[in-house]
Amino acid sequence: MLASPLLVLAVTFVGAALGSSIGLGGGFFIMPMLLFLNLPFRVAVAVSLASIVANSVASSSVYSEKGLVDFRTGMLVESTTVVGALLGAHASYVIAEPVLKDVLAIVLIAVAIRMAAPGRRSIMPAWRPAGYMGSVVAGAVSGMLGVGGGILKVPILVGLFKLPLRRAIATSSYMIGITASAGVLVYMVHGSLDVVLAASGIIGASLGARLGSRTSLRAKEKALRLLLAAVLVIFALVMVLEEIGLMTWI
Amino acid sequence: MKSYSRLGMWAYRAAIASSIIGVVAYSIGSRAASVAAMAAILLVLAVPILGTFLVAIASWRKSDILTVASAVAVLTMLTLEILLSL
Repeated sequence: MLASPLLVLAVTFVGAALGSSIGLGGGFFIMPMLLFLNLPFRVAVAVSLASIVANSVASSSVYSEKGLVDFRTGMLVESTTVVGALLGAHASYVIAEPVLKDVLAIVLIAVAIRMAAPGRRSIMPAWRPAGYMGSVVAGAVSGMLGVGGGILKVPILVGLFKLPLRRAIATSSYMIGITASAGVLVYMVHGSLDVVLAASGIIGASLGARLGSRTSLRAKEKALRLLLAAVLVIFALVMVLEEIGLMTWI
Repeated sequence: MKSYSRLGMWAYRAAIASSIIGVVAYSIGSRAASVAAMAAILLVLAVPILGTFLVAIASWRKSDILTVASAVAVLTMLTLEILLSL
């Protein structure tokens, strides 16, 4: 299967709709689907990150207008997250593509577990330097795997910086834009950014995020979370099976 | 930070318009596709970078040196990333 701009638009639309229906950016859904289109891993990461930046810009602007973004805390934490994002994006050029796919599959399963059990308390220790280290990891995961990393940032902002949940989500959406921009810059300077595919991703993710946020108001949250966690596990399993040669895509 | 939200919404709308032009131009085989698509990407990338700059200025006015230092660190890292690749 060849990746045309329309296919990328469709995939990012579906991914962003699924993600935003449970309050996520959608990178965890977009990345595996872009890989199923046979895009090279780093091109897929660049497309995913570009669409994440666009969504972050839109959502953080709205949150900022409502006064929900804590720019001070966001900037303090972001100064370490950017380090992780730059390191992660550069590391993806050192690490072999099959290993990156395996890492993504593991992260997808971890996110699925977290989504299926959202009520559990944060596993973050109550020690601020741990929060900064955690945000470096969040940045590295984002830069390396093409996801926003909000699922890591929000618990850090709530657990360690004592932000209320709504404020943490708003601040995280602002931070994600900076983190993903750092990643996009690295992929751009390495020549892995296909601008037309990225533009398609921006359109698809924007439309998908609007649809997803409306769907989330109607659907039962627990059932939706379990369903999407199952989808992520299936994505991870397909990636692993494909990797070991038990499944091939046309 | 009203200026951030105004900048963000303006750039986002322009980026979506530019992306649509890019994809349509690509589908009809026009060479303008890459230019429009690149403009869209630069527009969305500009917001977090300019937003960081705006945060630095606002924090400077409040004498919040720690936030200014964080914003300057972020901008320095992004600038170095671009400069070192040239």
